[in-house]
Amino acid sequence: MESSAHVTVCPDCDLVLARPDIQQRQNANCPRCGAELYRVVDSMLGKTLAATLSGLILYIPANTLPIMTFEIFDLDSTNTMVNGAYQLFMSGYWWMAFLVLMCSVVVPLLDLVLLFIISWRIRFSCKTAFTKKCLLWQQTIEEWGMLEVYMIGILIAYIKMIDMGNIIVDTGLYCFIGMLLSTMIASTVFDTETAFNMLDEQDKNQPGNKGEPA
Amino acid sequence: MIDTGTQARTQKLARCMHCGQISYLPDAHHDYQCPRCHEPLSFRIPGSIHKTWALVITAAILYIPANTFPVMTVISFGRGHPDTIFSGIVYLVQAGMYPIAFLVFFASIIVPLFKLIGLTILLLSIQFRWQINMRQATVMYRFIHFIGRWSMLDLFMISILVTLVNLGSIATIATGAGSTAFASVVVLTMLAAHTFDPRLIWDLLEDSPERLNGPEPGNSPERETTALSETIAPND
Repeated sequence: MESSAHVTVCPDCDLVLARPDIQQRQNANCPRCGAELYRVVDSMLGKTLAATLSGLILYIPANTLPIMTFEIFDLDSTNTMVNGAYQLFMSGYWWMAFLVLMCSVVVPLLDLVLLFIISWRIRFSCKTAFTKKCLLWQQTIEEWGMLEVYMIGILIAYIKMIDMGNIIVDTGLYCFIGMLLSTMIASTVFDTETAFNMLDEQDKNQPGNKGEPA
Repeated sequence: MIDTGTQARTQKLARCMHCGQISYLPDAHHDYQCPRCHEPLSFRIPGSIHKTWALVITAAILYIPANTFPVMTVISFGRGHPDTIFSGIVYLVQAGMYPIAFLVFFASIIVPLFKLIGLTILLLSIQFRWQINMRQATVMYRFIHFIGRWSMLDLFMISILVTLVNLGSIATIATGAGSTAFASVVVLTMLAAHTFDPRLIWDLLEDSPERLNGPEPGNSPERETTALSETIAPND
């Protein structure tokens, strides 16, 4: 009794199911617990490459340009992505600074870079061993990128401060929104299991490409 | 042949948590590696219940200082005004900002509490083999996993305000000790949701196979295929 290509197992409830053929742009759900089993996305690699590339380009201005400026009387102070974490670190809250920096700056960058590398390597049939490593890393960090939560955080800070002084929305915020949208598109389109299946096909077609013995 | 409509573990099949590869593990006490992604492979997350309990209990203890210590102090013209999470929400309500107040109340109070209570219910029902609706329990688990990240909202807001309102003697916003505890609660509950294995809920079926609301074990695979394709829906 070998592992068969015609069955699948639900990740959430462990039910053994016959693997149906689904069409492009469809997903299969478990009939018992409703979990998504797998999906088929047309031109997944191209879309992921496009979205991650635009995200990476926007990442630079989003993190260097000011997001918002607060003015009261003739004084003003600006906020960028990084200086919030820096300010927290300087006042001794290094644990909070670390978390904010990780979830809003470091992990989103790693996520975009890894997704870009993965799609690139699969698209151009590079050695599969390293691509698999990248897929595992991407899966581990993905959950800790919280750009959409940060976006709502900006919104709340804006509304809270609007009565107290003059708030100016800066270019950095527009770049940040663009980066957020690109990241969301990339993570919606990209499917880890589909990527692994593509790598399996490549291993089958080019046994010499594997890099390391199984 | 592999029987569809049964628990994979009863047939010694395991799905890799990382790449989705299905493998046959003949010996439950042997250490296996996924043939596709080379990650450790087992039927369930090892020590899932114990790890989740440890994380939930730690988070529950830290939940107390997170809500009693101030998270943020607004210093305006030399006078400090410390705010806990709850008094911050009360302030928003008094200022008439109801939607924001609701959002912060939901993200900072309801979500962490719901996660702690929800995970405790799931853990207890598995340990004491309660008769629960397994589908609802799985949906609740998925919801806990999904909303966990939104508790970071308050922390991001504080980190933005700390730099945005940094005007020396006129107005400064400083962080409070409560925020460190709150950050730890968020991280610990996210890790707890991660180590909890939802398949353990469905292992309760082994007590009462008649509660299996899918087809009976050993049923024909055709019937399962139709059941599955009925649920196919466009993914956008």
